Amino acid sequence: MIRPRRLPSCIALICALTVLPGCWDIKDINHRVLPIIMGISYSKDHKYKVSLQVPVPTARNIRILVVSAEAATLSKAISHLDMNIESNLDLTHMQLILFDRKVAEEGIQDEIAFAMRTQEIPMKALLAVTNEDMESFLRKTGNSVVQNGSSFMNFFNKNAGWDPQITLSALWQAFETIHSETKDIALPVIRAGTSTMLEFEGSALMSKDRMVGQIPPEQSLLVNIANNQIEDAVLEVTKSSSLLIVRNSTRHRGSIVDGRPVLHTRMQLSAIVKEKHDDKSEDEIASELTEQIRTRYELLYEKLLKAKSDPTGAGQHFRGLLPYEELTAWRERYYPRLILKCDVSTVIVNQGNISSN
Amino acid sequence: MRANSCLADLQQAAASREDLKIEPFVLRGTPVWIAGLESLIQRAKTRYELLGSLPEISCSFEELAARLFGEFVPSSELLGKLLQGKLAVLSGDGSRAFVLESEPAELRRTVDLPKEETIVGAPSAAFVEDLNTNVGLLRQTFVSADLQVEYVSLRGSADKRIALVYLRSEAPPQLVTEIRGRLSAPSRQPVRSDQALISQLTGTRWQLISPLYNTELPEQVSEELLRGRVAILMDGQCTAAITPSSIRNFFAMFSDKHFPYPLMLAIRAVRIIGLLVALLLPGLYVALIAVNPETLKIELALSLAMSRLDVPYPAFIEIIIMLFIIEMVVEASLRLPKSIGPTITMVGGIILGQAVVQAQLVSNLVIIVLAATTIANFTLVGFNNALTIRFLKYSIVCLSAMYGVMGLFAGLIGFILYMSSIRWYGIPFMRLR
Repeated sequence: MIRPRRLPSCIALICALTVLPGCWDIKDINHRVLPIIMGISYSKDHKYKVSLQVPVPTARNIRILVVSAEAATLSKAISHLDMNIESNLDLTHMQLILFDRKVAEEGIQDEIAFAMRTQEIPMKALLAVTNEDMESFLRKTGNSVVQNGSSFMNFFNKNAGWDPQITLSALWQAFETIHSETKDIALPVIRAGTSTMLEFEGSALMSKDRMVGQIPPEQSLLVNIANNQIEDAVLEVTKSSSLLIVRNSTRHRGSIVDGRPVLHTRMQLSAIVKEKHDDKSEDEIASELTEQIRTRYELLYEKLLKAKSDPTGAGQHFRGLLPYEELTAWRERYYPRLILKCDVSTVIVNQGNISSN
Repeated sequence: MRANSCLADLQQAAASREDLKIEPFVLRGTPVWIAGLESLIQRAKTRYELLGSLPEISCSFEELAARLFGEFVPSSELLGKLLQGKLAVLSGDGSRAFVLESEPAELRRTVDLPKEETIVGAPSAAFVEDLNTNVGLLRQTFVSADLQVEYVSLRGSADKRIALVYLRSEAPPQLVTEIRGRLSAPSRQPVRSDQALISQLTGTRWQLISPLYNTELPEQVSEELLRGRVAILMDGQCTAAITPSSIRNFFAMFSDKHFPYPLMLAIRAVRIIGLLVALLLPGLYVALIAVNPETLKIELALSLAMSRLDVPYPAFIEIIIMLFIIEMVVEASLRLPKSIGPTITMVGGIILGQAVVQAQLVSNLVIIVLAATTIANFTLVGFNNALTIRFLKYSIVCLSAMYGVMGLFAGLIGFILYMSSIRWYGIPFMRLR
């Protein structure tokens, strides 16, 4: 209840409110530029080169602006860009942080730390690696953005154009794994497409903050299967049939046998037969797929162990089995000696659209 | 000492009230004076009926009073009775007088359709200005011996007649006593309006939410009476004021119960959403455009930026300007003659709205926000309640302009806290009964 004699103090309080919140310098949305991709690469004299892809709304459509700056530090480069852009640079809508392969190979810890410290770049911004020249990549992809403002999001969006092969890693996950001893991420390696906007080349294997190798799309699919990240149907072609994997449930269990870590992985796949060429029974087809996935998964693991990269989070299952001091040595001492015991089972759930032969 | 005091007093009073007519008359052999206000009484008809209701035998003055159901009143009260539209018969010497009901002049509207609360598929008699008619309407709607009617006499000559109506079995006795006591307490100002009534009832004029819920539907009143509330009917007002009001009155009407239960729930849900939209939408716009664009999706952010491209004002100024224009359109169209109403709607809505966007003074999204807000505002039940929300949205807009989404929710929580703090006569406002 407002009583008249309290009115002066109320007015004084309200006046104070206008000055105190620290929001007097807020800028309307049309006075901010909202870059959606930030590319980080090295320039010749080993300084950072930061390129931004900025959609600039005009009266009729969106124009894409690619701006770059070189500086000794990332923040210096950003502030340099901010100075040259007519509006206020607002990083809060950053969708993708793109690392040049060289940057990724030398380690992205500082870059990730910078992105976290800005407190502007959203935690859910995605990370990716590219082999191409940053500016030309941003320019080429920009043309697709002009036609469809949401094409970038669609490529990575699980509800839109995402495919199960594409590994997704957000900024917060990178930050988490860089500071974790028992977990890594896989970053998608992309290039600007010739007819489509982006092409997915495979996944970059990270060991902590360093890129240590690359796996092709088929193997990144297995990484996603191992992480239970399949939310979409995915087609697998075996010798005699095409199968649509519609459901997947993977469980891992770790144990230590004779000082060596053993990882039991149990994958349960549900598949629909799409096509078959030989006159094989369902059981045979199922065992074919089972065998194929298991062999490929074991191959993938060989590669992972060699690279000391752990995108499936195998180490997580040993956190309770090893003393804390030992965990710091996980990557060096235990992980390369890991024994994988993979058990795949396939259920053919229905007969779908079988082409009769 | 003053044998003809009644007559003399009246004649003196008539000197400055020229519609007060005093004329000699002979009623069945007895010479009398008849007095009445010609502005309130049909004189010719009254005279004719007076004669017609008497048997054709000669009567004394006392007999006349008895046969006409007259009520003897002292000279001092005579004028007051006449002002209420009664007819006075004075004895030939002017020493005594009795008053009786007379044929009133046709000053009253007949029972009509509701003017403000039109409802679908429900009885549509609405209250009129006359207190007796209104009480009659209630009696007719709610035939029960339980229905209590009390006339409360307020002090001061300018006050109006007030009737308290409640159900003996439902209304808590202490509530009725409380309201009766507050109404009969001495008042600072003549109780002629709801505002005066509110300050008489609550002791403050500064509440944003009224303790009264006004309705012109007898059906609605009987529903509220069944919930144990008290209706206050004031002479000359064509609404009944139900007190204490509750948050329920923002979105529940009795006429909803003419529909099946799930549909009733759906209608009320629409009103609740309407309340939130009317209260929060302009604030949300300002918060999202000016302070927290990071909460938008990038597609939306870009299309918003496109729509605001050449707008010179910050979002806050932009929406305040447009809100004010809409307030003025609403305010203007309230009292416009029915024939000009559509013109203003056309000029205000279509032409102004379209032109202001084309001139790029405001973005077209603001027009959408405003339209949604204004429409949502009138989904609320009760004009008073709609006004409260109309007023409060400005505080939300200001908070949003300063603190963004956080300010928006702080404002909403503040609004809820404010409503929760209100108690009418010890009964909380935030209750769903």
